[in-house]
Amino acid sequence: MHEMSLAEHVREIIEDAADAQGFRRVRRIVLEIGELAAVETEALRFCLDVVLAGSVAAGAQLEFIDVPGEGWCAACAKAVPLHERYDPCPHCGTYGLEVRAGERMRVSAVEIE
Amino acid sequence: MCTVCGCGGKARVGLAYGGARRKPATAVAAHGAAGTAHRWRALATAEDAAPATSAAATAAAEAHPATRPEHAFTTAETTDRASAAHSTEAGAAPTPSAAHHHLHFGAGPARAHVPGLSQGEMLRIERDILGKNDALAARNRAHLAARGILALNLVSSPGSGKTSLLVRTLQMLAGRTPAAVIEGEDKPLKYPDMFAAADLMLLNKIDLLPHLQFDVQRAIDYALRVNPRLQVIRTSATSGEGLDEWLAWLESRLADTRRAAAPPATAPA
Repeated sequence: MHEMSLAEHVREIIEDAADAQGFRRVRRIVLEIGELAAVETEALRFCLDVVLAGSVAAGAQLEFIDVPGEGWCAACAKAVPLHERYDPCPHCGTYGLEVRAGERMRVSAVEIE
Repeated sequence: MCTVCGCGGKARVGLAYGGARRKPATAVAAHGAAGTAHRWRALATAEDAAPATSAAATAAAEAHPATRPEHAFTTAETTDRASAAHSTEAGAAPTPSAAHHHLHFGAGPARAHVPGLSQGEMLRIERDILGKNDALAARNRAHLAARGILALNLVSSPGSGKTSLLVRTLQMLAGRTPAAVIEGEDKPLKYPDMFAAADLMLLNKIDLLPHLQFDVQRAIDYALRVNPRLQVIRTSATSGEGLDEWLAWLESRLADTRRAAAPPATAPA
């Protein structure tokens, strides 16, 4: 549902970079999507195809890098994999892990001509 | 598209004041309590804050469908994605000039490399997709905090009775506390974070319990499992049950907010 506005942010970021760096054509966009970021990559792909049309990145190949979720278990005092925000610690079963990684979404890099 | 509920309308920002009879979404067109309303518009226009708050100045009367899943009771959260945990990321976001490095395939972050494709120049961007939102949200939060304005975000599942609860709350607050309802753009991205980010859970429509098979304690246990700090108040906007407790919670939070905003040497207003 919110993928369209995310796609618009991606376009803005790329256009800002194009202005700053003076490139006019983007062949490929590398996006990092956190496992816990609540983004449907297929929906985002669809929205980006629409939103990027007519921009410097029109038709660009999209590459998604999945960033695994990670939580901190206070009871075990260690970082544990976290696939769903509310999963318990896989070692001791404690709930309420502090999310340490996998929430973010970033435009990592672009391949330009 | 409305990013609140995907209803196809643009995000609306509505204002309603204590005791207002209108529904929040249409109140802005009514220009009802003009005096205080201008304060909120000034916030948006003077600061050129979030798109959602800027819309306050021009918002049309067109309302969302009644099924919209979220009303914001706040400006601070309208562009916020989740918790304050992100504000440091936004604050640390590199400036564009510093953030761009020219890279070439085969070196550095070459995990982006796809074999068999022509190799162009890789330009590292490293910018958070929601970085701009986070920065705006942080600015809104600071703006409100500095003025001792308590801003709350009221989130729920559709049909849970937020509007009725708001109307009733505003009627009860009338004459005691100036209040505004801002209904605006929010990121449904938050929904998975809803319970984790919440301070208080209102279990509304409690008057319907005799007619339902709903395990209240189980619902509360689940919520506490997700967020052990969550406070719970059972309310009914219909019967009024629990509303005194809810208002007491609101007023206590408002007092905290105002205390925090008051300069140490100055007596509270």
